[in-house]
Amino acid sequence: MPKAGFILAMMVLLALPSHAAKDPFKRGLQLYKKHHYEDAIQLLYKHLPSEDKSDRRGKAYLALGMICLANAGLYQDLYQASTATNLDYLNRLLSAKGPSKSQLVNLYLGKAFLETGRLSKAAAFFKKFLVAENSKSRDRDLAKIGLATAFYLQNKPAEAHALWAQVKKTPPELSISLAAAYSRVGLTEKKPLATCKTALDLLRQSGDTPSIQIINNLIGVYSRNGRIDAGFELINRADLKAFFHEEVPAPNKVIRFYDSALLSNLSSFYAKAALKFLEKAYALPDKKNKGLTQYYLGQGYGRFGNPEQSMRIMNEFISAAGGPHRLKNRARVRQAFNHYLLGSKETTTSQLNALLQSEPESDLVAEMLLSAVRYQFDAPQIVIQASAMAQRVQGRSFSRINFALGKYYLWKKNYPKAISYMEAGRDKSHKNRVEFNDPLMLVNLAQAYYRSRQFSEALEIFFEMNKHFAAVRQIQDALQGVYIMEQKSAGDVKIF
Amino acid sequence: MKRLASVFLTIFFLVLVMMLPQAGALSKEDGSPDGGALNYGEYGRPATLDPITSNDMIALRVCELIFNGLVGIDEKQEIVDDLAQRWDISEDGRIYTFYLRQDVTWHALEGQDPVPFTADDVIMTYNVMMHPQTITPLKVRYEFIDTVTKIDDYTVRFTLKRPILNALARFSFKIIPKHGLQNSEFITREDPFVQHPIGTGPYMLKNITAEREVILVANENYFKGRPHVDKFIARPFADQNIMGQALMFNAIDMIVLVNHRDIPQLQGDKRFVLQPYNALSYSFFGFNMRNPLLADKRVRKAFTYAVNRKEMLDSFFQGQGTIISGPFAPGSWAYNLDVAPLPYDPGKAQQLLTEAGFTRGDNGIMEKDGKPLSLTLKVPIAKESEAVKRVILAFRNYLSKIGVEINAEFQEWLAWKEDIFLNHDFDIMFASWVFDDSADISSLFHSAEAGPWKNNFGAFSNPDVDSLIVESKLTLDHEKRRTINRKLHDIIADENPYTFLWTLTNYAAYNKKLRRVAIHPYKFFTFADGWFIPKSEQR
Repeated sequence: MPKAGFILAMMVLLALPSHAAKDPFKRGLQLYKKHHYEDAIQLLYKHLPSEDKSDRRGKAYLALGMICLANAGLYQDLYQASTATNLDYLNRLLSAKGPSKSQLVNLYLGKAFLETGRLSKAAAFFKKFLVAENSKSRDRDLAKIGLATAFYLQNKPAEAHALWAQVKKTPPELSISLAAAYSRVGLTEKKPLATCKTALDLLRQSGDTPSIQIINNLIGVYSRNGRIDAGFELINRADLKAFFHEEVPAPNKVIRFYDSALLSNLSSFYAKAALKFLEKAYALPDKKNKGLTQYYLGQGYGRFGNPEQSMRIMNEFISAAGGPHRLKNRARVRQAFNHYLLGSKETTTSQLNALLQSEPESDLVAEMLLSAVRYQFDAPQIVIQASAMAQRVQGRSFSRINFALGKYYLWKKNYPKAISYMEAGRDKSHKNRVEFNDPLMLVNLAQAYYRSRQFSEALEIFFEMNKHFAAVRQIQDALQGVYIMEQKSAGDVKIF
Repeated sequence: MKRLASVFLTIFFLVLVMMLPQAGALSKEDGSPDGGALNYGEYGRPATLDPITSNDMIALRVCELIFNGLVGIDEKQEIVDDLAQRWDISEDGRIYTFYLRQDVTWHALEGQDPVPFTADDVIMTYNVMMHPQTITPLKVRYEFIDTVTKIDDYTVRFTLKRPILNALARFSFKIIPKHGLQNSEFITREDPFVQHPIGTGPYMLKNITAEREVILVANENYFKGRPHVDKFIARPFADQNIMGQALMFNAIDMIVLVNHRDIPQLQGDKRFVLQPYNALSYSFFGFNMRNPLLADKRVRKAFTYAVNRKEMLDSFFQGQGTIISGPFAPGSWAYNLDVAPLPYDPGKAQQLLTEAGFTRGDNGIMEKDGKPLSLTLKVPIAKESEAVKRVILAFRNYLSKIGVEINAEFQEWLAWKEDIFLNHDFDIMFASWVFDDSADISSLFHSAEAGPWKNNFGAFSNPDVDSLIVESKLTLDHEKRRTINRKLHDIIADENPYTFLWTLTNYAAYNKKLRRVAIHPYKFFTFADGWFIPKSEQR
């Protein structure tokens, strides 16, 4: 829930004395306000105040933490959109007939299934790719790495190690892919970080620039090892819209492949960065921002895999004297879902019911509903209250409650209703602009349009989003691929 | 008491009788009421109202209400039966046999009995469409058909020269009646039919008023059931600014394309629904390459470099659109995401003109071989919204900065169409294209499509583009077609036959009294027979 305390956070953070409108900190927050998260992160990170200015540094860490958290959440939803679209596209490619069929589709289906945890299917496709003739040695090695990873995750370590051992250690792309696989399954004794460093040095010596395959794997390794500095350096120089593979099975037939793991790695990386920044802010003796820092840190832990820590921090925040009532209620929502993550569904239900009975504001109900959808927790009372509120509220709260309802119906696969709610909350004067619409909402609306086969609406959203989030290209490309195969039209064009 | 019961009984029967459909009418029986009228605002007057000679969106929308195809497309993008109740496709994908509905009649002329729809109408429509003397942009789309044969009165067989992708969808072309044309071999814009069309669709043309309002009335015998709304009235507005006001003051009930300036007001007004629909469209300045000065691509590119499209989009359309780089809309599967729009760079523009041999004359206008770069720009008056006027003015100013003189002429829609498509009497034109999902640009950029009333009005010709267009049509491989379209985008962006401008957001707005509104993103009124107005809100 990175946006919930947005207004308050902006008020607190912008209270910093500043002499010029060109203050990078203020500019960074303005970029955040416009949802240009990556520009904001780059700017703030580049201008982190020195150690001796702890007050400024604390605020900078807090701001960076907030923005990284928002970006991590956005990549999480982009990843979900990408896996769905990419799988649809690859399956359609697979069903294509004729002599110019794609060979690489099996490799990428293997990767897609591995990424989504469907290990048997992943293994089957990797095997299929490995038995095909005429594949390149490098691609075969990539398939072996994928297959071995699937084996390892299926609890077949012997088969996995045997396959990994067959993979060539050069070029650097392969050794980094191998290191990323070790890192992913937790084989730290294989020293994945050191392997990556050596391979990267080799690459630099040869004057080559890292391919997107390398970047993707490095982001994953850096994320797991907390190498935030190295990660930022890499991301800032990377072309995240690049394709992973290009296949030319026939003249005038070019197929591009992408790995949706890139979006998942970016989400994990930004989440890790967010926690690191927020932990640093938390460790500083900055009493003024303590509450806000606790709140975001609690959100970060809860969202990204550490509900116990989240529970502890949120308890601190809630029990502290003073502090904004609205944020405390949102922290209570977080606590309710921390209980759910820790296995106590009854506590979640009772805490949510208590909040619902406290005459909550619409933003809080929206937050409850969005959290419920995130954890696939059915809570009909929240939906009823949210639906009633959507008729009454106005302004930003109207957008938020409609987004929450839209996301709920997207989860329930009621796509017309999902579209209708999200459209109601969309700023129609700036239909696809991330500056005026929450990009998270736009991604979900695009998903609902895609599921309703209104491809061009979805493509338009991603087209605009791509201007600020280059990695979105992989969704655009897959969506275009599905669109051409699905469209049924007569070839008409008119002037107007 | 008995008397009271008998009164109630009488009232009950009266109500029952009133609720019964009129004699002969086919009810939809979906529980929604019939009645009411829908006035909708259009931005111009249709030149012709038939589906063959017309090439603009205004006519397309009217035709959608009047005519049917052999097949249709539903809201889920599935192909569904329309005039054909079923079909067979041969295994090799070359023979399409359509079994026609036997319960369809043509709109009856006053005092005449309805004429049944038969296979003869289908065969005649195809033959008329393909006749050399029929001038229509449709022809290029149906060249893939080899023969059409009548099997019996209600069965038609099309044999294709070769199998093509999406062939079935192409049989959605609208069928016209054999008995309707003055000449049953071909159709021209002089045929009375183009102004008084007869169809099989949910609405029948009643009349066209002196103000060119097109009045359509419900077809009581529509084979899918009588449409609910009694009347559709298309009201032309030369000025889009007035159209928004007309909606807000209840003078009309619907706008098919909302002026961007009105969006915030309409979004905030609870009386109306503002509904986005993604027609794949874009605006452009098109060049006439018959003019030797514009035949050089460096000159055309110079014009594009000279124009600050972002500034125009932000200033005149509140940034509500997307700048494009080539011949497809960004929402299309065919858009090449690798091709970036040319940047605003007046220095580069100047350099290109110099490279092309232009020098600045005494009056500041660039010239070559004594010919000044002084050009006419023709704009249809239907486009004369305030924003468009500003675009034209800005275009003129941008080009004057690099020494190009632009003489803008606003013309009445029909006169403009004649100058652009028939006489080719222009240097630059301003317009927009709207595509269906197929993103087929063959009629726009193939050199064979450069004749009178054809869409390649600028006589663009490039052998690579021609051969790629042909290859794209021939392939049965989606990925190949996609690759070819990416290449086409790349080449055409470089050739710059147009200064490609932007795709704007499309919104329809309508009064909430209209219910169950579903809008087809391209044809708009495809599902209009299901729309209704509750009895209490009919007037």
